[in-house]
Amino acid sequence: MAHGPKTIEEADKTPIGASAWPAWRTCVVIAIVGTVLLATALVSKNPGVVGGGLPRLAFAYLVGYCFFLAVTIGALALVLLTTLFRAGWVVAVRRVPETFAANFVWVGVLGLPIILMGFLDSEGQVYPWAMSQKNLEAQIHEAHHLLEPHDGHDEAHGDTNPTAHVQPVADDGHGHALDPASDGLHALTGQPMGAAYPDEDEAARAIQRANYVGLLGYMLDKKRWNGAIEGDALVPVGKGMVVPWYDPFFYAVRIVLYFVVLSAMGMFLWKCSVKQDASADPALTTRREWWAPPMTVLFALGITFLAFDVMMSLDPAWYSTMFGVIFFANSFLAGIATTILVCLALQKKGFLKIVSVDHYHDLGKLLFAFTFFWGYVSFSQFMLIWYASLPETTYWFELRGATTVPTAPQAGSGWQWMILVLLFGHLIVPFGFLLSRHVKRNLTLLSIAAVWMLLMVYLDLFWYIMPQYRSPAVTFGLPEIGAVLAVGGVVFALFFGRFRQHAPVPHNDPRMHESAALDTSAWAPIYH
Amino acid sequence: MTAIDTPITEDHSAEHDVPAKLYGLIGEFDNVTDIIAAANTAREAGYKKMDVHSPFPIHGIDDAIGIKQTILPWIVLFMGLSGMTTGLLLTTYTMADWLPQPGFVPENFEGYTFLISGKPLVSLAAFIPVIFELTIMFSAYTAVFAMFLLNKLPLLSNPLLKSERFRRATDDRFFLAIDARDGSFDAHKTADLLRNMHGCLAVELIDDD
Repeated sequence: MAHGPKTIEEADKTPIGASAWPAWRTCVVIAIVGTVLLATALVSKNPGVVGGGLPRLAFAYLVGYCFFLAVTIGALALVLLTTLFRAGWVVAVRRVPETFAANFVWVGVLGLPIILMGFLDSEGQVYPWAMSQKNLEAQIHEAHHLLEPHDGHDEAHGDTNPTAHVQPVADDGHGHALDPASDGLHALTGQPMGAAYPDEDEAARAIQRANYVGLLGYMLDKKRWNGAIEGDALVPVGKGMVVPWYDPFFYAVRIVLYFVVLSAMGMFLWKCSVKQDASADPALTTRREWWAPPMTVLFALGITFLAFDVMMSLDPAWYSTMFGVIFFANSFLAGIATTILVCLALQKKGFLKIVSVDHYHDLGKLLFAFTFFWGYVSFSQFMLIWYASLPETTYWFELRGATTVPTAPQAGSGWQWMILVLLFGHLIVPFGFLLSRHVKRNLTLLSIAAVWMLLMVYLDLFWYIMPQYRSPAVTFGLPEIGAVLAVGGVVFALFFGRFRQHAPVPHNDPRMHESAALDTSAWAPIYH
Repeated sequence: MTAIDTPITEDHSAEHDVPAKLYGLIGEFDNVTDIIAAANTAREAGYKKMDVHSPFPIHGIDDAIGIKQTILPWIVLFMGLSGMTTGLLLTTYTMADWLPQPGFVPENFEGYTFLISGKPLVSLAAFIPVIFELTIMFSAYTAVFAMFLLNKLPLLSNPLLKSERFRRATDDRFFLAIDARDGSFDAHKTADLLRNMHGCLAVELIDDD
């Protein structure tokens, strides 16, 4: 037979043990270097290559953290979904994503600063909802003064913009209207608002900011929620819910809950698998598979709300139901790419002898599929918001440069190139590249694709998170690189620490023979 | 015991009257290892037009028979790109007011110039779903129907089915079929080759009429 089932070598059944120490040490060194680089955010107040203070530190950390959160979620998804489908092919490479998933609890520990931000960030510099009521009112007050016509055009204001006072959707509690849509329009049509600014762009930006604060005030004002503002019948129930949802204590409880559930899944799947190494008991596989469907439901809910709470809530006024799905697409890509690269690295060191090009081919197919899935859901989110053209949602894309509207230079001009890089680099180019089976079966080309997709996932998360810190300028420098190295170093050190203790291949899995005999080389036979 | 259970009882190829219209020769085997070895031997002997019939898919049989890679993916790629172009032209042409309107195109088909939610007439983002669906439609239909054509389907009858022995290809026997149109085919020599293969249970001549 051309491709007989391979026998599993002893090396694949014995834990790699001390051979993992050099890799572990490297990871620890990288983590330390990364932490130092991350700390350079504190050297000055001006955000540049370094500096920017605590908010810069927090945002840089958040991007790096979310990237490795995505890797871990992707690894868990790979194990969970292949268990759900009772897939045989994955068994040979499964120990790698399984080990990442088992470390989910430590990823949760790395996320503690995010919970703390909810309690400590009373100025709302990272999470605006964490702002204290006092600071919120001060900001609204300031915004109001900015939006107020400066040269006594009060009557004219009413004439040119009759809607502004008819339906005050935002109110600072002093009877002044802060209508984000009409005032923004008003400002950009050349009315004297913001005349204090010499530079037109500067003025427009300040007004945009003020409008946004108005929107935030409208959503986050605790007095409004408590019914302290009289005659305020305009708050729709759903939007009023923003206040209790972002109570810091409730927020902390939710984050902990997500991590408890997801960690339990990762640990359960890994535990069953390593127990089977010793006992070869097929009941362990049955138990995993029995739990897979309910776990998949919990997983979907868990990561969706995790994405909402950690990333989307950076802008509590904006919402997209697609957000969690896009984060899942990114996570799965990151998980697959990491699995490919870690398996290749381990094979280079002489481990995982059972893994063949056929397994990489299958992983490559998933990488290819989810490249397109990411494009599909990302485009869906963009197109709906672009088509509906509601000011309360489109500003989010404007801030990120995804617009051709002439006012864009005031908003996200620095980010305009990035949306094109994402369109071509995250979707079109890798789609064309990975389309061919020859690429997926060529390990050099496949590893290039995997590294590239990891970069693109990082860029996508960066594009989601960083404009909330600063736009139109793009902030990237040592703290951002440092955060990736720091969190990545810890995640990989934990990976090697766990991976070394058990056999690198779940050799006693009842589907092991299926994976060992995997052959994806066949063309559809055609008889000419 | 029926005729097909008996190993090498009737061997038509040994007779001198080879039918004028010949479809080919089949050799019968009863296990995977032998059929793969047989296919390898036949391929190494220079046969190209041959096929293996088995009750289940056999890993590695493609290499053994020497099946060339199919051109189907290229056809699908080409048609997918055609679908993309069609979608792009369709949406742009039906919406635009600045494209050439040749005289032979009825007025009803000229640019509609619908103004939708204040967007520019030619908004690529709005056209993407149409372009995407046409790409998928062209590729999917091409994949199915080009596969039919390449496999010469629908084929209502195959001369192999006339053989009593061949019926066991769906049960517990493996057959190597060598086509008479193959350049190296010679009824007697090919039959000898098949007969001398390890594990060959029977050789049968299939006529084509």
